[in-house]
Amino acid sequence: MIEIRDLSMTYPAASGKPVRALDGINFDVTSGEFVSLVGPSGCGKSTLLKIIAGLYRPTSGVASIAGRPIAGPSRDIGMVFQGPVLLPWRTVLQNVMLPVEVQHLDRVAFHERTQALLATMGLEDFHDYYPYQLSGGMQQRVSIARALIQNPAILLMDEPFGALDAMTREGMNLELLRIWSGTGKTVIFVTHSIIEAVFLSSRVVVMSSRPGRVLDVIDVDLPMPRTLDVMGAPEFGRLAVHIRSRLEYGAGGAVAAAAAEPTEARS
Amino acid sequence: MSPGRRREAALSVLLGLAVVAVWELVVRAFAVPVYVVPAPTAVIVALGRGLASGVYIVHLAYTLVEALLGFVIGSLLGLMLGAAIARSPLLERVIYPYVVGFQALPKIAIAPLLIMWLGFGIWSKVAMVAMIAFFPMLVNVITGLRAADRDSLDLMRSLSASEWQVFRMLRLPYALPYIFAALDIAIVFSLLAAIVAEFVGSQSGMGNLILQMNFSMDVAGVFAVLIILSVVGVALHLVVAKLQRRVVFWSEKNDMTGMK
Repeated sequence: MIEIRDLSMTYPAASGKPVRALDGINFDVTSGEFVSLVGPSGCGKSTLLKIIAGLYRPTSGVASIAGRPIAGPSRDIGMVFQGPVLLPWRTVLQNVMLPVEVQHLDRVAFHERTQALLATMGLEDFHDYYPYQLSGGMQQRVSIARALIQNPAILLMDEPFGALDAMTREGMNLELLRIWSGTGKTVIFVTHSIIEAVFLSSRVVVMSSRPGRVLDVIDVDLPMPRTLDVMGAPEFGRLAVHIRSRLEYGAGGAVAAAAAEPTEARS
Repeated sequence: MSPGRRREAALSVLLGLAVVAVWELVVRAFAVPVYVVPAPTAVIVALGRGLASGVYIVHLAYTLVEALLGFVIGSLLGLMLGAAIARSPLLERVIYPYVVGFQALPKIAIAPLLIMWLGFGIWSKVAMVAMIAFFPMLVNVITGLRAADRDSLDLMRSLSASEWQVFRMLRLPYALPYIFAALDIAIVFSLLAAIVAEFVGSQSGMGNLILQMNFSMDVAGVFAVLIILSVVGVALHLVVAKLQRRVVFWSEKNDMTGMK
């Protein structure tokens, strides 16, 4: 579904010396998978996500979807940002309808879908509320509904729950899993929480700090559907410890060793 | 109103009354001549006489037309040039130094020239007011149209929004609180600019009335006009503030001028 091949990204920096954000990234995501990108701050995982979203162009290498190199934003992709990024002058309903309006689609046809989505998100009583009247968790749910409105095949999520408190975050994780298993979407989820990554994903891509490289790709063979109880399973702990050790290994400057041990590209 | 707020309001009124009382006492005790500082009672009498004679209506209407016309023209010009500059960094680098130079000029110094070019009538004042109202709008529009955050812009881009859509659906609403802040500053300055321009040369208007009264040593009358102008200034501000709360109801930036 999504293929990333030898992808590198270099930013022109204000200080003059260009910053290498991503270096030789390779991995694949198959259709219907839930893949998390885990890594320390500044490892370029958000940049990688935005390249897949068609917002940035890589300096070298190719990212493609269904065999076609990504040339720009696509209706097949829904994006959820770190903050809810809601427009404060629009109601919940109007915010969710924003993509429909921007792309001049039939509002009436989408109205029913919006209603259904908001109901799924537990927001059926909040259509006419403004973002500032909602809690952080509710705001982020609105932004997920907005990302889903056009029924995209791919959902890209950039640390969407990072700003939420722990309880709300767990609730959102469960909801996300429910949506994912109910719709069969392909999800790429950026986080720096190892627990979150293991809990949600079918696979975890571990990245090193700047320049971002893929240190390891780890399969999460925990049964679906998952509940919060899975966090107590021995396998869960083993995977979390393993990912942590990979991250520390990467942080210890052993990047060359990791690169010499090529990460397997699956498809 | 909470009890605390009510007490503060009461204190505020008391302070005003106390100042007026002391003023009255001092003027009476020292027999200050009415052509130097009139007693508050004399001002009230002058105000009553002025209101009854209808003299304010014509002059105030004249000044308000100048101020509002200039306000609208100056704000619109500021809005348009600001929008152009916000869009084009090149335009900004080419034009902005002149704009800053123009703003640094004490514009009231141009007033005699304006009168020479545009005459003693309304248009020299409108031009003056427009020049004063122009700059706050220009600066705030540029800031406001660039205030949309990275993520919102990425969101619009991820939806393949056209540049016009980004402007209309994102940048312009983001700029509205800044635009209203500029309007609020400009409306008060507009009245001020109209009055000062009338001082320089005019046939009518509240500034003209003040000059006439000054010449005839009617100082109590001048004070009465000042009261009217202050009331009108506050009223204009309140109109803008009310409009602002309705239009940009989502914004916390509701009062940037410090006038409540």
